[in-house]
Amino acid sequence: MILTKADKIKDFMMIELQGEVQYSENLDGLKLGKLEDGGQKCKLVIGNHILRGKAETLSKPIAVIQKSNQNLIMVGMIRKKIIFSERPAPIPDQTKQTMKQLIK
Amino acid sequence: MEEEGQKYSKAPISNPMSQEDLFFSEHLTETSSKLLLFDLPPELLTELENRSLHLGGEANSEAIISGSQSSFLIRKSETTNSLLILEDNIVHKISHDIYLCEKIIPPLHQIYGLLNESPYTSDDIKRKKVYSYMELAEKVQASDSEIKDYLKKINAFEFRGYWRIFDEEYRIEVLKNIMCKLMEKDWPDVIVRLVSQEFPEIPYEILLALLKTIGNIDRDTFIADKLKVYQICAHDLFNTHNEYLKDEFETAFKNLANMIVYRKYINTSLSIEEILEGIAVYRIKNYSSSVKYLNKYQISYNLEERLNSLFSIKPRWTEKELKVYLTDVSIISLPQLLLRYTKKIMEGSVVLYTSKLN
Repeated sequence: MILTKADKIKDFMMIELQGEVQYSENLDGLKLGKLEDGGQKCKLVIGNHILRGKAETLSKPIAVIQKSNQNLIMVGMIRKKIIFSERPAPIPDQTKQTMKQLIK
Repeated sequence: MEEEGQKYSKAPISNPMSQEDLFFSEHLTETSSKLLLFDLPPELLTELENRSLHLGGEANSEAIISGSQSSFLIRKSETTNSLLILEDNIVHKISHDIYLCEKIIPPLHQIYGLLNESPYTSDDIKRKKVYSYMELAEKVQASDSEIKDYLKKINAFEFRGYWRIFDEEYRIEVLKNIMCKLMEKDWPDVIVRLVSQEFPEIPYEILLALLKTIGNIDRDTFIADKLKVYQICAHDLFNTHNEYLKDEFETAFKNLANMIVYRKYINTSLSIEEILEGIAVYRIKNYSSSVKYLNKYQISYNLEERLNSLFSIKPRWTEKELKVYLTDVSIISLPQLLLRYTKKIMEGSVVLYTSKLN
């Protein structure tokens, strides 16, 4: 098996969520939520829940490699990661109204 | 069909205080299974800029990725957390694992096993399977530099497109004859062409390869490596018996050296211990000191197997003795290896190491 590098390397990002993402339907094309990226501090709103996390630059970037027939092609690099290590908190009603406006 | 990039906002999410909707790719199921995450070492990333890298390994073993200088074992590291991989605001993969690359000493000893299926002798017509460099590189996953270095260490040579090692008995017999001829002729310089004329039955390339196992050839002149010349005597004795009583071996060694070592190469500063390094070990057997054949290139390169083999031959080793057999088999430093796998004991004022494994 041969590993090569694509002509253009794309910039990817990683979001790390605590635990398993459980879903009952096919996620293809669906909306995940809204990300508020405030530099180091980030928020992710998924449905009626809000997650608070922090962004970090990876000291060692992670390669994104695509399987193609019997070979591998490095197509991108992940240099930034946002970690949401806390449990999701329900959005209070007042906040929900504001969030609804944001999500519209 | 609308492109994903056109359908969704492409505003970079790294902008301070940016807000952005995130979507799963319309082809998430497909892309998720096709994309892999690799923590590649910087040296492999640098090499990937200019060349492709080879991944491989035997069917039942773990995969190994090799650069030009080093090899790395690929190990899957799993996490219970979910890793979402995004390009712009599109999630292309949900992952629970990253492939890590650990620097390793590749299983180079397999090359010795392959070449030893059909070692070169005077009767080479009866040879069985022989291997080209490409065939060896396909069978043994290691970097080019590691393979070439190992081939040199085991005195392998390329003959008519295939890599070979000598049958040890054949090599020693021919070299003994050559050394006797050198004593007889007493040439001021050993010109390979003249040696070849004395041994017309040996193909010239084979003569060169034989001489290179005990020295170097500068233009057409052979320059012997004194240590390797003496080691012929040790190998010759071990071709007959696997183990000798210490006194018996040393007497036989001196007699043989007097007979076959070309006088120009006699160097009394070499001790028998130095000559036997990597070839044999001293041990106590049945209350007597003995010398046992133990070729460092012929025992397992699996660290634990090798340690078991060493400690079954001799329960107590000095650090100097162990260093000879452990240097090429692990990336862990010798002090760390000793700490992890051995127990230190004192015998008088001498520090010895015993196995922790059993």
